[in-house]
Amino acid sequence: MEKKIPIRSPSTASQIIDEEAVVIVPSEQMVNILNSVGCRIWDLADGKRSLAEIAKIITQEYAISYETALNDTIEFARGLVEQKMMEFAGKDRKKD
Amino acid sequence: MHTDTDPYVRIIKKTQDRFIPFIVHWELTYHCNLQCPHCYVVPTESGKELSQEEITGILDILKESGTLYIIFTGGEILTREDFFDIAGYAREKGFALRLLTNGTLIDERVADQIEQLNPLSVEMSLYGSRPATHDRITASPGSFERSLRALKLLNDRSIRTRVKSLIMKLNAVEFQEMKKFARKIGSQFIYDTIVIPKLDGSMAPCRNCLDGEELYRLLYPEVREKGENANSLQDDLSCTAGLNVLSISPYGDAYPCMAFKESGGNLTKDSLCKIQRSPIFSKIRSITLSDLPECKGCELIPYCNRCPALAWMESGDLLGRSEPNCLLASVMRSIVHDKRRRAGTENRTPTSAQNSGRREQRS
Repeated sequence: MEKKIPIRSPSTASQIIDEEAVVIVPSEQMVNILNSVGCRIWDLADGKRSLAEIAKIITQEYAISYETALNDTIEFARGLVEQKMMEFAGKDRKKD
Repeated sequence: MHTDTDPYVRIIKKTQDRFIPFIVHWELTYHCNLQCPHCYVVPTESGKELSQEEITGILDILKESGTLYIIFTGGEILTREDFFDIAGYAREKGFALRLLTNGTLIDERVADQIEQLNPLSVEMSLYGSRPATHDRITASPGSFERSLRALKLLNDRSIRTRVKSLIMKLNAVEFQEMKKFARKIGSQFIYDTIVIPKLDGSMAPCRNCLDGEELYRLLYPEVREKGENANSLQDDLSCTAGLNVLSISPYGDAYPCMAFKESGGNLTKDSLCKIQRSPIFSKIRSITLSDLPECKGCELIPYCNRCPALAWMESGDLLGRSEPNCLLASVMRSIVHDKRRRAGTENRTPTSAQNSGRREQRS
């Protein structure tokens, strides 16, 4: 799972205001607010980084263990995928 | 429904406090294929519409400045040949789009292109439940059928559509039918009764405004018992112009709102920061009830949605009276009082009257 590459769903609309992300899924007429950590993960989900790479950045920026960051990132990304806010890119990133 | 503790409400408040242009109304063109006599638009002969390149440059600035919602309007947006390039770029940048159109240029192919944009909604003007009424107002035979076809094409694609109507003397009799009609075709219905003067100052469109009696008859069934449609801002007549709302003309001029055409600068030459600090933006933001000599102390305040731009258009005075708003507030009060009287609740404290939603307004 950690090799998966998340990307913000192109069908969403979003804006970041003071480390909070407002994310809209037009087809669902749904507005979601992501908190600071969620907003950072959202921002990093550019289709280039794997969940593991994102978790590494979260570890550094929020001073939490890598295991915690990875679990939280995976859970968060899964939730956003379920809500049609995020997708996983076709190919998983190879381990460096 | 959002509450005060709702994070979304908190973010909206933040965008207002910091003048973040969260909502942008963008008139992409003043060209239109219809000729509605009530339309406020007067194209400037010498005005040069923004190029696609200029528009994408401004979209980049707006993204960096905190904009989320862009409402593309006109004129008729689909008369711009590069509309889908512009709107597509806006979606790539992550803006939420609302599209305002008369729908007459929407066929299968255009409906497919709109579907690709994933807009929040497409809002279409409809001025009657009967073709003859609508076509008479648009001065374009066949426009009703073309708009109707567009609504069907969009609804078939599960695109959220809203039928917008301006209720005037010419179509008031069809108001209830229009509501039913919108519901039947799967569209939301929104309406307004206030006609805006033309940009060149002509008050001609306002001749079709409903008078007090007509407004009373129209709105009486719309106001729920106990006056729940009264103004939610009991002691306030503020508006969001210039706070988290920005309006852009086809020529790049930036205004505090769509109806208030005093420019704070041009986005091809001036920074957004400079525009938002311009005297006109500062002025409209600073207006409070105590600045309004004819409004402070007015007993109609709980029923009033005063628009400073309307006052300015009518009298050139931002702080003056706005007759259409005064008339509407007076009618609303009469309706609320009459409904309370009939319900036998006239002597109750009218707190509930000021606590819930307003009538939907044209935006």
